[in-house]
Amino acid sequence: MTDAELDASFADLGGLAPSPQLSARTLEAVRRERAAGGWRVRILAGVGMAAMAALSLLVVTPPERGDPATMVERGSGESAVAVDLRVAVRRPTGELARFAANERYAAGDTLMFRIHTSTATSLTLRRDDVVLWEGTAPGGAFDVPVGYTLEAGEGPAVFTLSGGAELQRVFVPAVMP
Amino acid sequence: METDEELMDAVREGSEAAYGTLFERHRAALYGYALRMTRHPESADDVFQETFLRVHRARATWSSHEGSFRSWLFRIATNTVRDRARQAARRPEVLGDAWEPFFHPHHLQRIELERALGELPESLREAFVLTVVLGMDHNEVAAALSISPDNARARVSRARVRLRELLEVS
Repeated sequence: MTDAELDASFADLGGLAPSPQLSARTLEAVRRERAAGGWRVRILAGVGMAAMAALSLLVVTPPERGDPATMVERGSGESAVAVDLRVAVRRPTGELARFAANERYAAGDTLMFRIHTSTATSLTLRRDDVVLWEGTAPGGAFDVPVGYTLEAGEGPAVFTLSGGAELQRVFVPAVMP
Repeated sequence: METDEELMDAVREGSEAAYGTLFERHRAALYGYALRMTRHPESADDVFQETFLRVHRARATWSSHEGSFRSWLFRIATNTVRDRARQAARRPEVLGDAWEPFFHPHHLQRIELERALGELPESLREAFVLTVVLGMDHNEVAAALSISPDNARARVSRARVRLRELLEVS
């Protein structure tokens, strides 16, 4: 095989289109950052104007002190934990595929769950109201040690991961007859 | 049609539409690079998103005098892949083998080629994917990988030798 033939074979591979969801998620993340940048400018401008107003008044007041006995800690470390839930499907043949909410799956397919957390946190995974798994994700990527194998005749369900800053939900359509 | 460099100049001035056009133009090439370098779909997703975010964050530092937009984009992508590899080395992921990359098995030869690419050492794979699979010239690849054009050419040449061996074995 010549260099040209080898190159031609590999050139045919070309790029690989990302999923529409990934494209949408990426553009949305950029938009959020752009919006946050705009807000930062406005907030800084507001803070600057407030500081100038305070200097012009030069009103000195004693600091207010609260009673430490009545103070409570606001928020906890876990309340701000960013959590992301991703699902893959393992076929009975062992083949692994990305989960898609608009696809119907067959009995014997197993849902596998991967969680990304910004720091260690306690989480609960439920199928509708039934707890499938409770445990601690160590921070970073973490694979839930239990999967969920779909059964024939199973209706649609919502898998929910709670414990992070936002509830993560995955809708699974009814299993194919 | 506006060039990438003209569009990136517009992005630097705050154009969201120009950013969208660049994203559409390069998303498939970038995702192909990310997936082939990470060999892991979720990691590729992360690299893809992080790269485009970094492009947006670094828009003020963009200058067409430093080379093409494409080499700048892939330099950011390469750094993102390497950063991620360093993090992964510190914190190995569980169930790694169960999450092998899943290229769609439409074509057996395609699978063999992708497997062979995956067997290449990273430094050869970077250069070969950018040059041969994605069609960048040696100067662009050199800028993307922060190496000399001669070095880029040599890496591609070594990659070809290794790929021939791998394909003959399979």
